[in-house]
Amino acid sequence: MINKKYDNYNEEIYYEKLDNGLEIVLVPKNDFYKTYATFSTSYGSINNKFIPYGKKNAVSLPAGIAHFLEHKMFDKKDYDAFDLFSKTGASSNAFTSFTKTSYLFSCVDNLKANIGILLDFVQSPYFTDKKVEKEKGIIGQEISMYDDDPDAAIFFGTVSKMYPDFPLNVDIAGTVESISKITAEDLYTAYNTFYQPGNMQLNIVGNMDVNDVVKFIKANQAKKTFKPYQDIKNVIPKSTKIIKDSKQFMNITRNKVAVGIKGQQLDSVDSKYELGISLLLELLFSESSSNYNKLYNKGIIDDSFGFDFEFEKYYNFALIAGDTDYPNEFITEIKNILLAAVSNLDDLKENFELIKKEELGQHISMMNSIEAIANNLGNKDNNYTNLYDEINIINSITLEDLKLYAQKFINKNNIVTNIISPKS
Amino acid sequence: MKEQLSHGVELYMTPTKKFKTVTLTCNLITEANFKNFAKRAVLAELLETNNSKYKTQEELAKQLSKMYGASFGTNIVRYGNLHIIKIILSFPNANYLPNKYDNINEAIEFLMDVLLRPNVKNKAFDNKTFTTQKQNILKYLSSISDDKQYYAAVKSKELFFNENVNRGRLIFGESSQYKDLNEKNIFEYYTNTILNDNIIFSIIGDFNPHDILNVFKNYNFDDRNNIYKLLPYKHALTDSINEKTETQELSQGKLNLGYSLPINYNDKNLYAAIIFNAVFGGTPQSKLFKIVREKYSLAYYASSSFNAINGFINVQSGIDSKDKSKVISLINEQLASIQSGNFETELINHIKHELVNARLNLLDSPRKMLEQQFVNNLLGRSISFEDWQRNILAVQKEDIISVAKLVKLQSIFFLEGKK
Repeated sequence: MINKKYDNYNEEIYYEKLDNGLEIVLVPKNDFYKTYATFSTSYGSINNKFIPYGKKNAVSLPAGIAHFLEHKMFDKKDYDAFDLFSKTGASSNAFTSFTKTSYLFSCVDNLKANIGILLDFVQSPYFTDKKVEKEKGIIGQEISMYDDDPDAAIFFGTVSKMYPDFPLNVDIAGTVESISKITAEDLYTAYNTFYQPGNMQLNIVGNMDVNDVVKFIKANQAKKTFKPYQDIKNVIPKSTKIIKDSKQFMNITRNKVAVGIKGQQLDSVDSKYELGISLLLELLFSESSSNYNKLYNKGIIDDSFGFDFEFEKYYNFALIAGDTDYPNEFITEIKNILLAAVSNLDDLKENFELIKKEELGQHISMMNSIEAIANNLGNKDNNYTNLYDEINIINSITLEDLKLYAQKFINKNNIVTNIISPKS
Repeated sequence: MKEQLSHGVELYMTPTKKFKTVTLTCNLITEANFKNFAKRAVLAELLETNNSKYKTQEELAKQLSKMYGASFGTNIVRYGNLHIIKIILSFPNANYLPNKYDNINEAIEFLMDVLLRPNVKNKAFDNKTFTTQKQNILKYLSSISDDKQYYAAVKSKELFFNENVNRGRLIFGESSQYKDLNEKNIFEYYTNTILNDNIIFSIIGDFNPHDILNVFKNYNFDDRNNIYKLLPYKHALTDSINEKTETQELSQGKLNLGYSLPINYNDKNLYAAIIFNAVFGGTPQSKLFKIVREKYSLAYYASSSFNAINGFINVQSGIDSKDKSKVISLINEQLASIQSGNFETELINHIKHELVNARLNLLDSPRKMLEQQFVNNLLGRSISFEDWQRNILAVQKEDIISVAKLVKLQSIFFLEGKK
């Protein structure tokens, strides 16, 4: 077991890789009541073309299958995994993103029993066509719910404009049409490939006895037989297209607008670059920036304004979005700020120091939350860079770094704009 | 620990080393009065935007960054008959900052600047700030219907409380109320608020209570004439169900059912009512989740929530509009089945365990801890975790059945989706 200490923050992390390939990351926080665990596979909505375990040729499965699989994982032959957690007083849930599926629970007692339930239900697939059919009604309603949600529409819509030729072009849950094609056999194909222990990570944060927990997990895994690990062969296309300017209509009362910047496609995650771009966006658009205040006072943006940078192994993009009465001005102003960023950075030296202070403080605040820690422990794609490591990286970033990153990231040919306007 | 700063102005201090932040809140409390909703909404925004020390939003935001990314905001909330303007400020504990930068006094001063030194000249708020903030709230009000689930919940509450606008109407009031507001009458309202609202300050984190109390004592607050207390709601039951349907172009319909459950926070059946709600629709173990979602695949969400201050249960579900009457019958069947005792004691034990754990979980979050403390204070009670747990564990199956028999459907709001 590897132990990393972060003395400045009284925190420590334990890492253990099991013989079957499962990666365990533990953060004991014994002055908390709660323990929170996530059991995740690197399998999300973008992984729908791959070479199945033991096969030679790639297959394409229907869009939304990772999310569908997540739903069906709980439903066993004669019980529901939700109920098992509930019997121990724990609460459980799961979510699917573009790149990951996570199963989780939180509890204040019976920790080992709950870890056992989590490992066992995710490691014992049971899919039948009858159960798959029944789930289509529930997920169909989930998709309908998102169809009517303008925030989901602007987010997924803008991402798909940046990636029209890449599996980010479909919502995570898929469409009613695509999920109608999913079969139990598809679920097994996906499961056998992506749920190998060597493709999974178990994070546990909170009240625990580390040695006891590790011993328990090892014994649990030793009781099961797993097929030998085979490398996952995703077929990920190179995305070369964008759809620059789009406009849609929806049953809403205010315009939703987004500007997206598509980063260069890389095959690994660079944490310093990731944090650097986030700092850059803070510097340009946070409430303490003059840009924000200028646009706010002109009435072009309001408190709904926000921005985010997502960096994963096969893609990275930034989104800047908000509600506005002046969608065209919003787009022009945001684009101008972005394109002038490199030349204006030198004037922002003072603000840069303030933004770094702010980021430091926000990382410290995250340490109050068991869930925030568990969701920021890193993974094999970023060499397990966690929120404590991030503080050191942030401290090391200079304004010169930001200039280089901005030059690399912001390019007028990689910017898309998207407006959703009221119908009438 | 509680300190009285003057009649109606109190400071609650919770020193603990558990958290890496210090969290400060200030609550301005008065009777909820529909006529004042717009005023209080605008006032909360004005206090948040700038003040006479930080004259622009940019200066204020920079001060927060300087305090190592302090998180700050004001909002408006309502507990039953009380309306609260809440100011929250939280910032990292000095022990974890470079050079142990001690910002606690600076933070209290910041909070007091927000509260006591608004951006005012000649007895009027800054005109530009006032106009922008008023416009922003009006824009927000007009866009509430864009969030369909929230919109349907707002409408459902209005329908259930049609007799009581102070409890039932949206806390931002309505757009017509904003027409008569100006920077002068908002300042008058502010002056009145600062003098008459009850004020509760709370602070949680690693600090020395003696020092903090001394800092607070530097500020003078006059005694208040009235002390506001939470009052339970007595809903007048009607035989007929108040029903309303609105049609919009949507793929999913939003069904909201309002039930009366005349049990409030000081009723001996409170704990049975909390468990009833968990059995009905409050957890994934509940009847609504198991039947409407899992058995019949009619919805992605079907849940209930219980408000013990208003004796109100709201059931929400997103469904295909053609399934409306089927889902309503299923929901009512679930209620009937609880009323006839059709649930396992084992389920009750699991739910009790889950509720007790959820209560304990509150103590892992500084904000949730402060909020729980604040509400208990409004309720005029102080209940330890152990007592709460004992009360939950004491609930018997018969108690849940008798509570269930008091539950009466009073309103149905349906946001019908048509393609």
